[in-house]
Amino acid sequence: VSPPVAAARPALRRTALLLLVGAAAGCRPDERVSYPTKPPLVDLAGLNAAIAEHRGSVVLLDFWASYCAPCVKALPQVAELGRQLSPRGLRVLAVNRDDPEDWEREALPILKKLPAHLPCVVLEHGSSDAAVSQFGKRWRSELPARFLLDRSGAVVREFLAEATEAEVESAIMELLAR
Amino acid sequence: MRRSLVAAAAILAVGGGLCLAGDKAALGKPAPDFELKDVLGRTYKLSEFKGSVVVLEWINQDCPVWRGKLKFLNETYGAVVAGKAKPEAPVTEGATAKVVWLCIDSTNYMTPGRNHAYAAVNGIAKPILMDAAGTVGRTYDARTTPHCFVIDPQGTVVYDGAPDNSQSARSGSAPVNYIALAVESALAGKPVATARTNPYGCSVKYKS
Repeated sequence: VSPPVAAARPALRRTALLLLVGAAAGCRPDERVSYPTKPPLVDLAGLNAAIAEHRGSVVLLDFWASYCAPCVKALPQVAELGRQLSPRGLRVLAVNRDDPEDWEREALPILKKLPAHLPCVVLEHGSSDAAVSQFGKRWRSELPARFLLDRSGAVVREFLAEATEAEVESAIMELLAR
Repeated sequence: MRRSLVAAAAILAVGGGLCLAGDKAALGKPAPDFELKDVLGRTYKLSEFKGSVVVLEWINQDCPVWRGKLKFLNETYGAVVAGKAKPEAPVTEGATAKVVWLCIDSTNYMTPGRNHAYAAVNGIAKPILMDAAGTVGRTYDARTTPHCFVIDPQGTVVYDGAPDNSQSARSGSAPVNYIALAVESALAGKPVATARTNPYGCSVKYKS
């Protein structure tokens, strides 16, 4: 049974903020911060609030799902990038697209195995089309999909299925050097 | 030089699916023609189905999202095609059908044998066309499995997107079967109300 998203909507932003307060309250990126057992469900406003908390940093948004093999394969490197480049101003935010009821069974075990903590929210299905419109130019919701946001919060690069890890990393380095 | 270019194009065409029109697929435009073989080696040419409504469904048996939609897609196939024709029949017979449903597999490593076996085990009656070279998939810009297109009897693309709203609807919303609605409109000669949605699922694993 899906979590009652509509009823929980006021809590969606709060979830995102709590996540970020945790990150901002002195948690070093390499600390093994525990993940919530309930899906950290957000709508688009909640996701934008989470992104806005990082204004001034370069942000990599990584849309992924447990069923997306290339996404899961890339996650350890994404988490490592977040950890290693945090001092230079990179923040990574993973956005999970599994069904929220699959969080504990499917998504959580993958996140717990990562070499570094990766902040992650679950985007409710009802915000899917709006997220595609907001972040994508070519994107139509397929996974993997990663977006690089500059320090002002503007999307400057879009990486879809065909993008390589080297391309993503090189774009991040270039943006951090500006 | 020119001769070698023609030869190269011919080799490319033989090596994979043959796309007969140069343009990319676009909503409201003529569907680019193609010729592909199914898992048994029978040739299917899209233009031979003119006069029928054609559903194209991109598939990949290794994609959990497509597998999760298998029952829904089989049921929808049954609902829109059943009793109207035998779309699995050879092209000449299929051309008389009111609705034809073709599965296309653009997964770079997929083999006809695997799909033949999977279809038999999972009760898939639809023809499965092999496009391992990805030519047709790229022409239609198929992004995910499942990604579906509906083509009207005049050969125009009238729907491009997801099979349903299960990955885009707010919790508690009524389910919407986009394929069934598009087929219904195309058969009635009416515009498709929701002609474009965002397809969901695994990305198509194209040959790089």
